[in-house]
Amino acid sequence: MIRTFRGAAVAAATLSAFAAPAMAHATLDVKEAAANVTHRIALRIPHGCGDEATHTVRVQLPAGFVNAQPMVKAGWTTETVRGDYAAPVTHRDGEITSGVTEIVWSGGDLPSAFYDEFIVRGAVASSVEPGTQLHFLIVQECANGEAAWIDTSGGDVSHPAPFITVTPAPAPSGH
Amino acid sequence: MTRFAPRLVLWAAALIALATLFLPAASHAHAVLLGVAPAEAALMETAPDEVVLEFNEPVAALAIALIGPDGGTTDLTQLASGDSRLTIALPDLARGTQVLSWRVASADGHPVAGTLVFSVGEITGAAEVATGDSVVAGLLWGAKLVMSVGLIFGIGGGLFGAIAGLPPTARRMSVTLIWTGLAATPLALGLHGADALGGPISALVTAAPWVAGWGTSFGTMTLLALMAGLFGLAGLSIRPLAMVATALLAAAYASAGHAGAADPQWLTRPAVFLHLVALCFWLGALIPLALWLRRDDGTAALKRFSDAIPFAVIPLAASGLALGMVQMGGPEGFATAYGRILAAKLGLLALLFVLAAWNRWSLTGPALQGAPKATRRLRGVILIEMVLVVAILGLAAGWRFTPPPRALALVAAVPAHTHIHTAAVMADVTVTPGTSGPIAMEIWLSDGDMQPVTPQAVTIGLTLPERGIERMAYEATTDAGGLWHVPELILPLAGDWAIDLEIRLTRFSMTRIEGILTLK
Repeated sequence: MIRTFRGAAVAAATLSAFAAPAMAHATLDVKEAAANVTHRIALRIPHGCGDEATHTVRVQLPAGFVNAQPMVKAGWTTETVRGDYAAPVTHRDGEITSGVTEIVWSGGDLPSAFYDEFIVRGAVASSVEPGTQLHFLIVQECANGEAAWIDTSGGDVSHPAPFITVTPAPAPSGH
Repeated sequence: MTRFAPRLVLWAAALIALATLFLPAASHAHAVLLGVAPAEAALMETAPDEVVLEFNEPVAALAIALIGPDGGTTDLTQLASGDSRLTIALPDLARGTQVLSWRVASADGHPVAGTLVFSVGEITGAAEVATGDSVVAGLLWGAKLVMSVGLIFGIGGGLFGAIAGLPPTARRMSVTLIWTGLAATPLALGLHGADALGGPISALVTAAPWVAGWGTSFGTMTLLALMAGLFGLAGLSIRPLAMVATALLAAAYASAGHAGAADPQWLTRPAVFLHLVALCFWLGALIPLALWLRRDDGTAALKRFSDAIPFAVIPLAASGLALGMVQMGGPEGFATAYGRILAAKLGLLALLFVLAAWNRWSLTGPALQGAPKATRRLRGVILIEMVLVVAILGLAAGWRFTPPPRALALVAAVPAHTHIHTAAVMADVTVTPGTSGPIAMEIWLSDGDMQPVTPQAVTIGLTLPERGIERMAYEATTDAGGLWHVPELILPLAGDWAIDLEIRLTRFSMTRIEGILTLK
């Protein structure tokens, strides 16, 4: 009985992996990002909370994503939340213990039928191991609800958190 | 033909009567599982030392087996102790999903079986659990039918003989019927045990099913039925013993089975007893009557039968009505398998009563006057009646395989639970009632140290993969006491529902825990 159930679940997960329209989820325009490099990453918001327009987009930045800056966005109020990191991060020759942990774009109006991107710039710390997945936890807020892209379980879930996979730092260019 | 010494028969009967003293005492109703620990589908960090099954009445363990994550089976029957609270000591468990398959005998002799699935550390696959053998069930049904037909017709024939006399052919047929019934009776005991243990037909060559059958209330029934048969044989020569045989047979049926075990027992046991006495008289009369009617001197017997039959039919109908009402609990009980058998039985009974009425009011009078046409018709109707009666007894033997609605109603009132345990969050989920249809769900959440957690939101997802039912999601609401509720949701089918709880601990953190919720 359980075996059947597991079989069915695996089959369903496999099918939906092919069938799921990738654009339905909140995603990043970058899939892989090298350690020790500064990146420009766009958070892609494909729809609202159900049918509702989005007025606020919050993103919690992953540990190891340092020196983060939001790109200001016309029609939205851009704010950052600074705080201590859960653990100090080694980046290049120094140790970073605090920084921007959360970015909030509020006061906007993004109808559900429309698409928009929210830009973040920051560096993947040099100490982050290649292969690490850095999840950007995104919460869209609407008048009567929210869409929380915060599920990091990696399964076939309804609201996965988008992530970048860290690749090895590029070799020194020799200057 | 068959010669037998009444004295020898009496000695045998006395020996069997002595043996009844060593039977376990039978008591109340059909056992229902009220609760288990660990909870069904629980996922635990550490392996439990024991499993506890709680029933509404004392039970005896028949077969308890643990099927581990690797599919290996361990027999735990000897490690079970207790009566209504059955504690089963567990060996060291491997990580993964464990299946505890259990089968116990309730006081009414019927086996009650179930499976408890729980996991240690992680949820893995589990081997399929075998269910009862349909060959054994079919043979058991056959043996019980042969036993009923042989003993009721045979002993009833003797009873009729005691009142109205027997033609020689009828006496020989009674002897044959009783011996056939006597032969089928112990076979039914062994098959009952094999069915109770869930074993194959080949298990009958071992002692286990016989011991198991003997341990149920069917053991008492078998002994009483054997005594009834022996007294019945003697009763063909010594008339008063035919009455003793009838009483013993009625006591046999009252001692076991669904009806005799139902509450209130002061009503059900006497009602079954009365039902069987009346049945013996009526059915036992059919063969001798048909044979008397072939003879010129048969009208005296017909007269006596026709005078006496109302005294059998009225108690038969009254006791049947009382038992039906106790067992069904209400008209909605007809929707169950038990109810459908009862409906079929009532249909055949109605037909039988129509024939009997025609017999009595249209044919008996002219036949007593000696009208040959009416006599011939009467014989024909009696033959049809016998066919109907065998069909009715066959239906009654089929009740063995269906729990009566009164027992099902007890199950319905019992909520279903699941306990989901992860390092971060524990959830106790209760749905009431624990059956398919509209239910209410209640969730208690705590962290790994049993401290309450106060999430921002809780979303419940339910799927029934085995039936292709996709995930249904519900938002739970919380009350002042910290319980989370989904006051009304509909789960359309019984089965193992996969339940997931998405617990929104903070704005950016969500934990999902998964378990299985079994609805009956």
